[in-house]
Amino acid sequence: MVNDIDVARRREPDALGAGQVAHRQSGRGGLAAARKRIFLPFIAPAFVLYVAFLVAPTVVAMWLSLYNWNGLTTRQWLGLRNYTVLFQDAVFLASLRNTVIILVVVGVAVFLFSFVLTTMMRGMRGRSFARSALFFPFMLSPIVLSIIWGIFFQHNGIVNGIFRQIGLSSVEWLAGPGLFRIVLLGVAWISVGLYITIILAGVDQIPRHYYDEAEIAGANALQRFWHVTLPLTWDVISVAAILWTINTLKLFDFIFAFGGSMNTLPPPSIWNSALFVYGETFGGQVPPYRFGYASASAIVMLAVFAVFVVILRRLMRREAVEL
Amino acid sequence: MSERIEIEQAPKLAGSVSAPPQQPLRWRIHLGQKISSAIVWLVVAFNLVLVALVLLSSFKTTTEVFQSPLRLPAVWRFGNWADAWSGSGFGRAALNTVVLVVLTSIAIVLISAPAAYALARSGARGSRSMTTFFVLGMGIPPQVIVIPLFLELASLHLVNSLTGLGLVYLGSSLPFTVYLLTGFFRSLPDELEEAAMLDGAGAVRTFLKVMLPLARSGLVTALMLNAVGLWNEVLMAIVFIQSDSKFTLSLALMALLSRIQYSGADYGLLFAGISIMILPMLLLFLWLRRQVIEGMTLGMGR
Repeated sequence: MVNDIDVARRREPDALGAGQVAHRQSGRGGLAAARKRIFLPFIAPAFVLYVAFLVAPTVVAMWLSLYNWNGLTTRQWLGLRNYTVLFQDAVFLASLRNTVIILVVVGVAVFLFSFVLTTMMRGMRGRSFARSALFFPFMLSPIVLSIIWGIFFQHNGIVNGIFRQIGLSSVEWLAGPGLFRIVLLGVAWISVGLYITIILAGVDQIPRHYYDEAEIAGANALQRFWHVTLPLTWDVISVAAILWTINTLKLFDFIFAFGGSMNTLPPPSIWNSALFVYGETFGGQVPPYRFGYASASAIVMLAVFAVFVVILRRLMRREAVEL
Repeated sequence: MSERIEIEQAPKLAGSVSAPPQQPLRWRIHLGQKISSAIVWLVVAFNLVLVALVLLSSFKTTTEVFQSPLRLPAVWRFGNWADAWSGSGFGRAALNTVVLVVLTSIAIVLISAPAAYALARSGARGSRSMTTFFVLGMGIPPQVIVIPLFLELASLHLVNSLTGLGLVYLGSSLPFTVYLLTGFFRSLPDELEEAAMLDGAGAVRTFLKVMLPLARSGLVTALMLNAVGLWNEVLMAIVFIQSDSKFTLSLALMALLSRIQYSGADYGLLFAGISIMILPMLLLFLWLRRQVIEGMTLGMGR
């Protein structure tokens, strides 16, 4: 109640006496000043922890990447040698390639599938339930999903069981180069729910009459998608694309669990950036602890992704559409 | 003629169910819609059957898991759960994980909320560039910082300690949480805040009594998303924790997976362990699913 009066008073400055105007102005100034006074103390704890546990380690990683060091013996200055060696390291190049394949190929597949499904879900009955069920795998541990995925495709697994029942011969899905394809499919499977949910939230913001008008104009489903859905969800899609890039770079657990145990790494042919760093340092039966070399690889990946994000932002920038 | 009527009616149709099929075109659209719903429900069914199969398999023998995946177990083997809980260390790991995740998520939100409020609303010089500085941290993956963090915590004697792991989680979760909450605080109306301050409430009191309660849905979302992410985290846990007694659920599951390689595959036991790990997330999701989904998508949209 008091608040209402205050708001009303501030909207009618003419009705106030001179003294009150002065008071009001000092109140305003006080407000701004008070807000500024809290700035530092409010930010300080987050800032200190952020710098100590994220920013400083990043800087240290750049510095470490110039050395040869296992954490115990004396550090040996290498300059940029770690970087030149990296680009002749077949395992690193494979993990770089795998990371980029996941980023681009799986990314395109996930977004296409999400578009198709969100388009299909527009105006569907039981949509909210369907949305929940599609989103749900996002809550589950990627290790669990990876184990289930392995059971699906292993020699005596469920997929081969179905194959045998319909008269096909079983396939060694997890052998040789096929393994990475199964990993790619699995990454798409565990990710798609999140992007469907995000894009669906964008689609829900579009007023219904745009679709009605498009339908009357004779637009088919593809044209409606192209001329209505896509332009009006563009901002959401560009945020989702950045999120996909970040999440791809962070991906570790789903691939790691394909090793099948705590101390066994999966074959290097399916490593990505995070697996490479772990494999060169703490991972495996006999951890190599190549701190400098692994740091250099992480910095290269970070640089590649930073460039990618900048390009993505350039490509996706355009005028906002007002609804 | 009928087309003209449709044009006139079109604006009124907004938000209502589509008109009954009258023409071949309409009819085709209707059929198309049926097919697409069928496809959507097929994908939905896949996810639901999967969860049901996992829970069901946790009561079976290995033979049953593979020979009759869709049937109920002949005998309900609750022993699988007991074995996983005490024999395979899932009980202790569950306790470790709950304590770690709850305390860390609360700490993350308690530290991020004031920072996000100050960034979003103080109007202080530098708050824009400070926001960018925080947001950039979202793009730094764990593999960049894991080695320096290991050295840092080793010098503080915090390796192989759940406290140390909690600190690592805290630092790496701040950027996303600050980003999410900044969006929420920015969307709140100015009037209430100004009114509270003109009433003589200090900045801190205004924040605690007026703004924090208004941002409650954002705080709950931030809490939830952090809890889910940390519950399932692997890379940091596997690097920073070595003793079985300090294992989180991710590590207990990986350890069980290793053991099964040597002692013969007991898939009933494995699925019991998996169920112990996913059941809390399942219940949390059933309880707060609207909150999670809407908060998450709102945070993304801003």
